[in-house]
Amino acid sequence: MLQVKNVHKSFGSNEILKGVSLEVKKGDIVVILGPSGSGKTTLLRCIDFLERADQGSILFDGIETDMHSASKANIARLRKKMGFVFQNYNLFANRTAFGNVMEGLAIARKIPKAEAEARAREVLDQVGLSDRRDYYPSQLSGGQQQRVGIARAIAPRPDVILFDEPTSALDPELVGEVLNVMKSLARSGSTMVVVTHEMQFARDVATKVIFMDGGVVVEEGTPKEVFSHPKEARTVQFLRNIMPGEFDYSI
Amino acid sequence: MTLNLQFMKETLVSTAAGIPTTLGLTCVALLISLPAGFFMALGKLGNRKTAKRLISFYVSFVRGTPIVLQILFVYSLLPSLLNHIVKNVLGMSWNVFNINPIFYAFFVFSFNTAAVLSETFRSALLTVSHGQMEAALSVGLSRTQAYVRIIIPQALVAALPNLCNATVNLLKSTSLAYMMTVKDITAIAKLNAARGYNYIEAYLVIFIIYILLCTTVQLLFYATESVLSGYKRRITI
Ligand SMILES: Nc1ncnc2c1ncn2[C@@H]1O[C@H](COP(=O)(O)OP(=O)(O)OP(=O)(O)O)[C@@H](O)[C@H]1O
Ligand SMILES: [Mg+2]
Repeated sequence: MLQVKNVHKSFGSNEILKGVSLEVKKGDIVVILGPSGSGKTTLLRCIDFLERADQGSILFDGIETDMHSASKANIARLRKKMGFVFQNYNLFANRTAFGNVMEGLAIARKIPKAEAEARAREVLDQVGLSDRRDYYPSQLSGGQQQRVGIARAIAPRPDVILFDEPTSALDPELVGEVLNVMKSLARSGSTMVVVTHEMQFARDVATKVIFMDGGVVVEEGTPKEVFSHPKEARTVQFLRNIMPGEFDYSI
Repeated sequence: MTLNLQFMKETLVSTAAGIPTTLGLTCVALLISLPAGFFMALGKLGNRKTAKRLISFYVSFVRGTPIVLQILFVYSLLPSLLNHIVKNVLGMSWNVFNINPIFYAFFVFSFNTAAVLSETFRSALLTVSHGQMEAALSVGLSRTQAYVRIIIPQALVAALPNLCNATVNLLKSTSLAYMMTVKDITAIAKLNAARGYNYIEAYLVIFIIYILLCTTVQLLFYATESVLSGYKRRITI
């Protein structure tokens, strides 16, 4: 359904992505792992055109678009097929939880008001925030804000939802509520690409795990393949660091 | 020394007639400099090098020169310059010196306030996190929609305290309009005072008028701020 090919991106003379390719099928839960600075965020941002890739193409439902030269109209069309959940939530501070969800429906997609409102109520219900509908972001906890962030991203029923470390800005006791929402999304058949350091989530939910380091995909496979039988030394090293004790493989 | 109360009463009535002029100057200058300042702020935050440089030059020019000097310049130089252009370049017989001096006042005060407001808006726009712009784009809004619906409303709230300052400063600086023979509060008071050498009384009267006007402006801004910044309040139980 979604295919990203050979993405390159540099900041100045610093090459961050050195030809990354990624394939996502309908219903896939792709988890991207990798050490800090390996370019995971940059990859997601390039896919949603929040950052302009230097090279690469994106194939969505059979239509290929060059990522470097994509026109405004093409970007707008592609963005509407995707949802993005940010590490820092990035909720609209001047809109309530409900208002945050409405923007993408009533304004961006011009869905008739009544229909949009029904959908907004439905997704807020889905993330367990029916009772916080009229709260502003400043009145919500981090976990609640991120759940609004997820509701906002899924409301227009995008084909794929991109998550950039959705739980890493949260206090530990709030991580669970967000992961639970993501798990139930995964169960309901959503297609998701998730950058995260939550290994348990990756093991339980992922259909495909991608390990990135230094701007390239080092290894990819099912959770079982990557976690139990990693082929690459860098993957082993990373898993050892992030799950000490639990992981004692050598190749 | 005793104050001439009878004179003060008369002065109060006659200078009050200048209030519309003072407020008019303030409002017109604001109406022109609000959008001008806003677009200059956008220009300064954008990535067009020439535009940025021009705006920076303009702002430092305004900041680096006393407004009195700008008034002297505009009021004595601009008419002659315009006259020259109209007569010799355009070849028309229209008399530039018939222009109501209030237009020169509009020009000077707008010119000044726009520079101040461009800085006010620039810092206010910077208070709204860039992440919200990205979130807006990611849900499918256009850049313009994101500005109009998300960024600008928040920036305006952030700008209100400085906007209040700028408005009060503008209102006070319109008292210099007398230099351009505009009949504002100060000009009328000076005229009355000169007639009977009652300077102290006349100045006391307009002192009070200015305080009342400025206080009213500030109260209006406070009220606006408390209405518009509702989304910032946490619920306290
Ligand atoms: N706008 C930018 N300008 C310059 N350098 C940038 C920019 N954005 C990212 N980088 C650099 O790109 C590299 C990769 O960043 P990126 O955020 O993609 O890593 P990451 O894999 O998401 O890391 P983390 O796990 O810490 O989130 C980093 O070294 C970072 O400093
Ligand atoms: Mg990151």
